[in-house]
Order: sequence, then structure tokens, then C-alpha cells
Amino acid sequence: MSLIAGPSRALFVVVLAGSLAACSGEDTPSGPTGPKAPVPVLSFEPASLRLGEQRTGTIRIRNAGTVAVGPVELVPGAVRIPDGESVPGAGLSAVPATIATLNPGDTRDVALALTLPDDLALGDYDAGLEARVGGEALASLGVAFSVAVTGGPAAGSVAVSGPADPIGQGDVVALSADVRDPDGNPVADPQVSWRVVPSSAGLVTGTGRFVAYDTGAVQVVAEAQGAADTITVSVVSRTIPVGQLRTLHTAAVDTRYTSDHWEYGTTAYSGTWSCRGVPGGGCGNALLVWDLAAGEPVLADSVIVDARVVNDIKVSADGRLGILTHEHSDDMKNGVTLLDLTDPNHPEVIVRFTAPDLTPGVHNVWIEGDYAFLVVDGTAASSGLRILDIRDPSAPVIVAGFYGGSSFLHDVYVRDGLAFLSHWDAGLIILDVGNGIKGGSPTAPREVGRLDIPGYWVHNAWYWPESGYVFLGDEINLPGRVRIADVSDPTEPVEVASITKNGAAPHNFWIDEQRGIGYFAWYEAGVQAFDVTGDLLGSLERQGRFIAGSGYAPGGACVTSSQQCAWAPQYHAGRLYVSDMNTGLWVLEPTF
Amino acid sequence: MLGGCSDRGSAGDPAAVVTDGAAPALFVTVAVSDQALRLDPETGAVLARIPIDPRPSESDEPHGVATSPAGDYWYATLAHGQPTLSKFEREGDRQVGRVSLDAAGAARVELDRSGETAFVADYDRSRPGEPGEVLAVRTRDLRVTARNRICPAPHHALPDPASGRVAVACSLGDEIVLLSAGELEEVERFSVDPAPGEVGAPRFKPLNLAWSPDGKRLYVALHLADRVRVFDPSGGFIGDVATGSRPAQLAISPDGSVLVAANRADGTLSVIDTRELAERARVDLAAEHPHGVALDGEGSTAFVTCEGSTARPGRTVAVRLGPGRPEIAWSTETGPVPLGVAWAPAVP
Repeated sequence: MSLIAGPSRALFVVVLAGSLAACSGEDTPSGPTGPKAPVPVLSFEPASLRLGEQRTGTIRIRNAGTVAVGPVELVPGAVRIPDGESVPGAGLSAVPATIATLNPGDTRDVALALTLPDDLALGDYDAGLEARVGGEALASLGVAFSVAVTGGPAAGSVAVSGPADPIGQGDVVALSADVRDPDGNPVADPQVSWRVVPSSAGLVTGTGRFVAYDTGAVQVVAEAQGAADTITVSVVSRTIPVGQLRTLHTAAVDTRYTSDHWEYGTTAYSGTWSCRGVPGGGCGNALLVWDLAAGEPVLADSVIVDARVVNDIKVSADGRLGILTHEHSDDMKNGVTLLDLTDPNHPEVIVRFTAPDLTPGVHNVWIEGDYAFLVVDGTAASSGLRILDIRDPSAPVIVAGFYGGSSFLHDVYVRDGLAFLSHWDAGLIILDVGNGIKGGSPTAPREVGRLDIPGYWVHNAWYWPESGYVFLGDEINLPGRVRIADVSDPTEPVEVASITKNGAAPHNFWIDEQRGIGYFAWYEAGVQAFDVTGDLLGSLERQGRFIAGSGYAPGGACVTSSQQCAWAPQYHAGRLYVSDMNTGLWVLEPTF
Repeated sequence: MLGGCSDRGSAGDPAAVVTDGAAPALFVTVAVSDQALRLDPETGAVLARIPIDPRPSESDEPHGVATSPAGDYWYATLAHGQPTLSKFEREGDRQVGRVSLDAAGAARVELDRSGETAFVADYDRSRPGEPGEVLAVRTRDLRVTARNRICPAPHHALPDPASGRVAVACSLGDEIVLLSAGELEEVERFSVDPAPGEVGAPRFKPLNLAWSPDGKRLYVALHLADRVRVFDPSGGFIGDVATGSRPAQLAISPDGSVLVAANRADGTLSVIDTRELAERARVDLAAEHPHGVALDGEGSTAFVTCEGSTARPGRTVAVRLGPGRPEIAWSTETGPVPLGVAWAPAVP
């Protein structure tokens, strides 16, 4: 369906702007304690803008204060129906997304553009744009638009059909509308406007796919050129596993920060990060090896390397080879170290592999068959993905590379011959590295598709082939949001669902694909388990899918405290292992 | 004990104006903790920890730092993630801007004598045979006004205080390139030795530079040759001075009489008499991996950042040069991998 090109649908966009009241007052306040710092003041101009059927427009931002300010981040909010439910796959973008600095009186034009899904339901929507400095919103802009029917044949009747039996929260069902003209004849290709009553009770797409958020009787209305019908859907609570994440053991690491980890058999390997300013503290030059044979992790060994960040560790599928990453090494060569895991609890260094390509630092790694996929820091073609032939692990060879053209690569996940690149501003990039869909191979990767979500910095990804979904994270922007894209056609990834958490950003994930349970790390907010079975649509946190969360050491803040800061979960042998930057390695038992 | 390795302070908060910006200050960028530190140049006390950290929980690697001639602003580069140049007001160390440089590894930053333009070298070591860029950034609005692909892994782009030409140290090409200040167009290029290494495999690795105040001499630290070589602006050889092992950054006194070199491999500072072209003293800094060096406004004290190692934190060391034997005035732990250092004058 075409949103605006077709004869019967039109997109009306109105932009409403204003400076944020909290920061738009007097910019040189003083009080009983004496003069304070000047407060930056930003405003958007004009106050409103009608764009008609265009998807784009221009507004202006002004520094209306007396002090310079910057960088100014222009952060779009979610596209929502008016009472606040977000619409997956819809987004507002601003160019430039960042303004380096604005001196007093300076202005900058900002181009806005809407990206909307093909199946967006007719109706009213709004979005927002904030001008943030140092994470604080100094001005906000409201954007409203409508998708409306402007023509087409008159309808005499509409009859909606849907499930006769109760459905569960989160179940995605297809509703259909039989539209007939005043003479009772079927209308070909009718334009149907779908909406949920009350609108917070669920989400319906323009093609009648409906998912319920609330339990009870939920009404869905279909309208078409003067006629309408309503179906009442009975929604019951979603049936999900019941239980908790019970803390079993802690392997405390308090003299270094802990980074990523990997469990294999009865051994766990955990990396270390940056340098910790505590008595006896050290830098991230160690891989810690934990014996899990007795259940409780027991430190069995460690590998010390030339690095200040061992950000990642991966183990090959056969458990024989490990690869750890180097950043900030003394010799400035960085690279990776390959480990012989014949004795899993006592790794032997096979070789440290360095190359000019790897000098900026290797941040993440993935092992797939005879190849290792390395994430090289940097924002140029000289950085990005490097693919290493590790058939002879004592003499690895770089056989290919890829850079996404802008921003930087942060993480890589490879499965079924597809590499999922978390490429920050550039979004999710999917490569064929042996799948065959684009004729790619590990030595000649070929781009398959991209998903660029404005204002979303893709940090990590988990691909679940059987479901056709990829789960994405953005570790910076708040509110935190896991986004889920349908990649059943990897050439056209489509965002379909999300999990939103106020006040915390997601970090890494693990999906227990057998049971359809997603484990998500949320830094200071610990880990959470969600039911991710079935079709996914809309806001999963509204659908009764939350199973359990664990605040195993609540309080504090990442890096600056000794409390909880969840980095990554891994579900392994019936246990959930969680690496925590501040506190070490945790072993949790999902009792569900 | 590791001191303040990742102790992210609240300095830089726009509401937390500190009013001691009038005193001379020393700024140090700390690569692994994503901070800049403001130190008291007299005592070495750490007065503020300023986060330069657009990505919490990721390493952004602050690298170069420079202060405006009037001392009212300071600038720092980030080399990792999304390389950037940030601008800070001196008072309160309040950040007022940051520009993405679309570069691979922004290294040192230098300002021209007016303070209107900053020059950043994009030190990309991952393409040894390919030319890297030098960028010019207008400091008023942080717009990139010119960029030019010059030579492999340029590490330092330094404007001549007399004429405004910009000298570039091409670390992996054994070359020096002179650029026009406005458009960054090449006006001169010469090798640092009649027998340079192959492109991408240097024999000398010119890393850093210093101009004499009159612009008639260009001092070049030859990292792999353990010496400073002196040229005229046309590339004419003037002389050599032996230094400690692996000289990194250089700094020169305002009157041009004293040149100092931070020697990364042996932990020393070379103090060079530029009239005699001789090393007057070599100071053991008692710290690992000296990297950056700056002089105060009188040229009487050198401040050296020492990276430390993966086992020990870095330090910043002050050396009183004086007419006699140089002496260490103070040595302060400044976190993991302090790199850049800049001295700022008092602000009226």
C-alpha cells in the first residue's frame, strides 16, 4: 500500500514547536547564594509548520541565550498514536542529528523527515524531537500528522471478522474487513481505517493485524468511507512461564571491571575492562577462567595479555579454540589472542595476532567455523569488520573486510551464513558471508540489507533464524529500547516490535530459542526475562510477556560504584550466567 | 594503587561553574578513563576531572589537547569510536561544542596564533601505505573548513607561529609536508633523511614537531632514530641532536632557547640547548612511557605525561628546567594512559 502516492490516502503533517519550559527562562539567574552559571536557552522556530502531503520539512533551532552551547543532539522520539502507544517501524529523523556548537544568537536549519511503514493504519499520530545538551532536553518540538482517506468509492457497509474465542495478550491476530458499496457489492481494494478502542488497549496495523495489550473486552473499529463496524475481542492474560531468577552464586571481581563472558562445558571465561581506581585495582589485561564443575564458579586460571580492555571472549563451537580481544595495549598493536582450550580450565596461548588493520583495537569477535569475525574500532574504511581465516590457528590470515560507509562497527553476530553488523548510526547491516542469498562468502562478503532507525545507535544484535527476528540494542539513548526487526526477508528488514524501559538502556542479550525466552541485560537495572514466543508486534512490555527480573545487587551506577551493572547474560546448562561490570560473574537459576 | 582511573567527576556540568579559571592550569587527556584532568601546575594537584565521554561504558580515548592563546578555551580530540574535536570554556571547564571529524583516529590538535583555527592530524596506522588527512577546524563554530589527504599516518600538524604555514609530521612516510594554513594546500615536501624507509615501513618515524618562534627552524622528533633533526622551512638540514630512546612529543620555550623531548622507551626527558644543538640534560622521570610534553609560559617548567603500563597507572611529571641541573618538581598519578598535555596561562 502506498501511503501518499495512491489516489485515496493522504498524509498531513503539522509540526508544532516550542522551547522547553524547564530551561527557557531567564538565562542569568541569581539568588540568595549569589550569581549562578548562565543557563543555555534553545528554541525551535517556527511555532508550527504544515507540510501537507510531504514527508519532509525544515525547522530552525536558535540559541536564544547568552552562552554558547554544544554539542546539541537532536533526538527524535517515537512515533505514537495520540495517547502514547508507539508505532513500530515509524520514525522521525533530523539532519543534522548533531550540531557541534551554537553561539548566542546563532541559528541552524534542521531538515525533518518521516519514515513510515507501508501498513501504517489510517489515523492521527504524533512524534517529538528534543534538543539535548549533555543529555538534558533544552527544547522540544511536537510533530503531529494524519494519514487519512481522501477519496475512493463510498461504502455502504463494513463487516469486521476476527477471532471468536478469547485471545491472549500479545497474540497477533489478523482481522479482516468486508467492505461493500451501497448496493451491497464488494468494494475492490477498499481503504480501511483501523483503530483500537481505547487506543491504549492494543495496536492494529493498516492491514488489520492486531495485538492486545490490555485484558478484557477490547474493541477494534474498521471504517471505510462513511461506514464502520466494531469487533469486540475478548483478551485474557497471556500464559507465560512462572518463576523467578534466583541467585545461586557470585564470583566476585572487585579489583577489575568485568566485561563480556562465555560459558562452555563446565568452564566460564570472563574478560576485564578499562582500569579500576580502587586499592589493589588493575586494568583490563586479564581473561579470568572459572571452573563451574561444582556449580559455584571457582577461579581456576587467568591469561594476562598486553591490553587495558579485554572486551570480548568467544569459544568455538567445538570448544577447542578461544579468542580474546585487545584494546589499549602498551605496544599499541592490539589485535586478538587465540587460545588452545584443550584443557578448558587452563588455556594456552597459541598466538597473539596483530596486523596494521587491527591497530585501532579489536572490540568484539565472533567465531563461525573456520573464520573469526573481528570488529575493528574506527570510523573509516580502514576499520570495521575483518574476517580472519583460523584454519591454522597458529597463523591466522585476514581474508576480507567490510566497512559500512559511515559511523562505526560495534559488534558482529554470524549465523546461517549471515553476518549481522551492529553499525551504530548506520544501523543494522546484514552481510552474506556464505548464506548464498547474495553470492557472498567469508572471503568475499556481500551486503544483503540494512535497517537504519533514525536516532537509534545499534550496539548489538541477536539473530534467531527460526523466528525470523533479530533483536537489537542501543546502549546509549533513553528511554532504553530493545527493537525487534523481522528479517525473514533479509533484503528488507522491517522493525515490528520493541521492549522499552524507562531510565535504563539495554546492553547484551541472550535468547533461549528452545523455549522462546529472551534474557536482556539493562546495566544498572539488572537482567530481565521476557516471553518472546509467537509473532511479535508492538510494545512487548505491554503484553504480559515479562517473566522475571533480577536486581541481584541493586543500587549504584556503572563504573562509579560497586553495585549492579549487568553487561551480558548467557543461558547455559540450565543456568543464567551474568557478567556484571562492577561486581563480577553471577550465576542465576531461572525457576520457570 | 590506581588513582582515579575511572572516577568520573562532575566537572563540566554547566551548572557547576568553578571560578578558579583565572589561575594558570595544566590540562591532561587520559585515554583509557575518557577524561581530561585539570592540574595545578605548581603542585600537581588534580583540581578537576572532566568527562569527555559521549559513550558511557565504551572507550573513546581522549588524545590531543590544546589551549587557546588567550587561555579562555581548551580543545581535546577523541581518537576512538567517533573521532571528534571538543571545545571547552576555561571557566568551569564547561563543554560548549564537539564536532565529529569523520576521521579514523584524530590525534594531536594545535591552534594557530590567533586561536581561530585548529589543526588536527588523523593518525590512522591501519593503512600504512595510504595517505591520511589533516583537517582545519574553525574554532568559533567548529566547522571543518578544509581537509587534505597528505601522507601516511600524519601524527602532528603544527602551524608556524611566524608565517602560519602548517608543518605535518608524516610518521609512516618519513616525510615532512608544509601546507598553506587556509586551504591546506601543499607548499613543500621533503624527506627527513636522504635514505628514508619505504612508505608504510619508516626508518625514522617522524612523530612530532616544534617550530622556533621565528619560524626559521623546524625541530622533528625521529622516533626510531633517537634524535631530533633540525630543518629550515625548505627542508634544508641544519643539524641533529641525540636524545633518549624513542622521542615522542617536543616542546620549545617562548624564546626558542630550550627544546624538550619526551622519550617514550627509556622514561626520560631530553633537555636540549637549541643554540648549541646539544642535549644539556637527560632527566629520569621515574615513570613509564613518556608521551606528551608542554612548557609553561616562561619555558621554565616542563610537564610530561607518562602513559604507565597495563600493570601501573600513568603519571604526569613536572620538571623545573632552570639554569642548572633540571629537577623533578612533582609527579602525580593521572590515571591510565595520559597522553596530551597543555599549559594554559592565567585568564585576566
